[in-house]
Amino acid sequence: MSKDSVMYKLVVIVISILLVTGGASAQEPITLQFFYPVGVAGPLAQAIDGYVVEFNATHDDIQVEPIFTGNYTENMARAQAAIMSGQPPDVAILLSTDLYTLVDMEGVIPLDDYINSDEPLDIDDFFDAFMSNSTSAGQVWGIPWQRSTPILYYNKDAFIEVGLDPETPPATWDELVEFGKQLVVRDGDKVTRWGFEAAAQFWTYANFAIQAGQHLGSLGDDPCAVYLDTPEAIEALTFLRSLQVEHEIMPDGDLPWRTLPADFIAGATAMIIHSTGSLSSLLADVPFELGTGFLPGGSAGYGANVGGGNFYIMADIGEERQDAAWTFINWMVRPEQIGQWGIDSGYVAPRAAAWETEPLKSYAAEVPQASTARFQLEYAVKEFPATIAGPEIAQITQQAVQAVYTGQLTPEEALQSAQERSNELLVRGGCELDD
Amino acid sequence: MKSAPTQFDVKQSQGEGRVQVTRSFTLQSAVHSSGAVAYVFLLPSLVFLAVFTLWPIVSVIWSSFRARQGREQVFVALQNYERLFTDPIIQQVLKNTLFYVTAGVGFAVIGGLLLALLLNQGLRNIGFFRFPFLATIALPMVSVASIWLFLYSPRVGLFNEILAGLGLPLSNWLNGRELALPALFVVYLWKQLGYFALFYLAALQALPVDVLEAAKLDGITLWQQLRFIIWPLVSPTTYFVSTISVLGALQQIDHVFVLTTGGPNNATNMSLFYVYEQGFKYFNIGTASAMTVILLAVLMTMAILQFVYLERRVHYD
Repeated sequence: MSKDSVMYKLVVIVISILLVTGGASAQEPITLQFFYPVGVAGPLAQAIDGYVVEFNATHDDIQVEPIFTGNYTENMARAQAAIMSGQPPDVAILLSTDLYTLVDMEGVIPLDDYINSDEPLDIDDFFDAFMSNSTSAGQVWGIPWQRSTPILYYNKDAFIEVGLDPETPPATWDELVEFGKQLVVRDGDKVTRWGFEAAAQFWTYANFAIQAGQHLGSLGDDPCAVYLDTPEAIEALTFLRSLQVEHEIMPDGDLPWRTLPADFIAGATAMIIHSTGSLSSLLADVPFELGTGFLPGGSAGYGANVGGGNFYIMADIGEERQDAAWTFINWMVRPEQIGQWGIDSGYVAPRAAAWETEPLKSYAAEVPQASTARFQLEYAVKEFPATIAGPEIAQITQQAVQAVYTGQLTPEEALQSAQERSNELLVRGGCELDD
Repeated sequence: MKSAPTQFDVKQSQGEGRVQVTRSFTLQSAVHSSGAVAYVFLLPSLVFLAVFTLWPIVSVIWSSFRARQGREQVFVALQNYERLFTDPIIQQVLKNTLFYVTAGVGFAVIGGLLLALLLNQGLRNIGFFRFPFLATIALPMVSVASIWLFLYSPRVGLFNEILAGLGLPLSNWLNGRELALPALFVVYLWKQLGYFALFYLAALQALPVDVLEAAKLDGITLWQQLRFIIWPLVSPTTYFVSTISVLGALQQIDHVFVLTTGGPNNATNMSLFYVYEQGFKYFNIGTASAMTVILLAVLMTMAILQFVYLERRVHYD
């Protein structure tokens, strides 16, 4: 009897302890793991951490734990490994072009229900070019955050020095050649200042292809489309090569993406094409007047592709955490918040409302260079390669461009072989190519 | 603290350390006879070995037979190996790796020995001369590569400034197809040569003085001294250096990252970088594992050869 009552008391105590602690844990805030990369120069990690601190301070029920995961490649590798091991982060910034890979892995969820929920987001306010890489099969999977597009940067002092109008950057390929020739400075055989540099890189080349009239991938929602060996695609690469050997306004050999800002800052070249994400660091570092312009247009007029990273919410983390992740994303992309991010980073604030809201409104009035990328968005299209095996096809395209820049192959040879290799990857990835 | 004697001591102990390693193999039979006690003492190392070496090996072999399908890794038998050998860039990758390995061994042995001979001269303040060659060992490769990146820069770099000053045609260094791999190799060699020389320096200082003195009394030339006395006497070191230089050359990846990321058009893509790209850029874990297994087989063969050879040397001593 007494033994039973002891047991009874014990059971009561245990149950009440469980109830109390259970009750307490229900009031514990949800802690979200947030993976983010930094893809361009500058103290961007500090900026993001700062926003998260502010979010946490204003939200009692949700605490976000920011995890800096390196560059885009490392970040994606970590996210993929985490998804495959069944322990994904809750929310992550990943490349917009990673969309097909993520959907294929069933690693992310569509966001339409959230966009139309009682915590709504005006998705139509986001620029179309950025949304083109964020939607698939009629659903929205990513919310644009650190989005960019390449623009032309030029040295206004050099323009003045050779008698060009510093407010008029080249608007066409012909003008690019013409201005470039005027800007080249020679000391005997040695060129001390080149007219122009475009990196031997898939993202840079893709813009020239668009300007020649060929988007290298699908403008719609076809992950199996790669068009590297069309006449227009070949024309674009032939033009780039001609800048090196025929017009001699661009240095021969490989031109790695990351070395362009250094050449430009040092005055070794008068014009470069680079991401708008480099704007803040260039504004801080160049010892001359910095000009920005649209990418010069080809036979098909102006053209550019977009790039950068979106917010994604992960699958398999439970509805409660997904709801919390949405609250966080929705807070981050508020017009004033994403406008501040645009100022801090140089990325194009991806929604129109941000440009009509402080602090970006005054900043854009003060720093006109910041608006170039925004206005160029009118001519911008979906980023290449938003395809199956995207990273590999990007690399294959890049290798073709490098082979041409180094004089190893002609544009035809290089692009035909790149097309064949891409086709193999597409077929291996489950595409049916009619041919 | 005087710097010269300290350096001398370091090399002495390095040399002795190696002798001890070779001797410990002969102790193995003694360890066997004491049985269980020995295993208890070995247990901590065995656990670490199992967790951090053996298990990853088993796991990489396992995943080399699997490939990603959606979210799952499924069994695909030898498909990864088949893909590996039909990948159009694999030949370039293997060619580059082979260049690194052969040039690496050649320069490590010949360059390392010559440098050690120079550094072994009984000059006053020899430590002053030894320091710059040996200091590179202590530098992290990423810092070294970042500095060389500036030196090689075709438009603002030191090397092209020098060429321009001499009125010579400029070079594209890392950005040109022909020079990219050799230029990369120079960085690796600049950093590692002192390391190889260190082993030779230790070997030279352990040479029996009486043999050299007897030879000198017989009026031997420098070349003969090198060819018939020093070269045979340092042969265990030569074998050791060639082994670690092969391993070192195969393991190079950090300066590839910093300097070229494998470009232009795979001119500097090497085995380990290939594994990285396949595994972590394209997430073809299966292909990356297959390449790793092949690398592992090569490295283990090297290690076994060295083990057998060293054991034989000990018996002949």
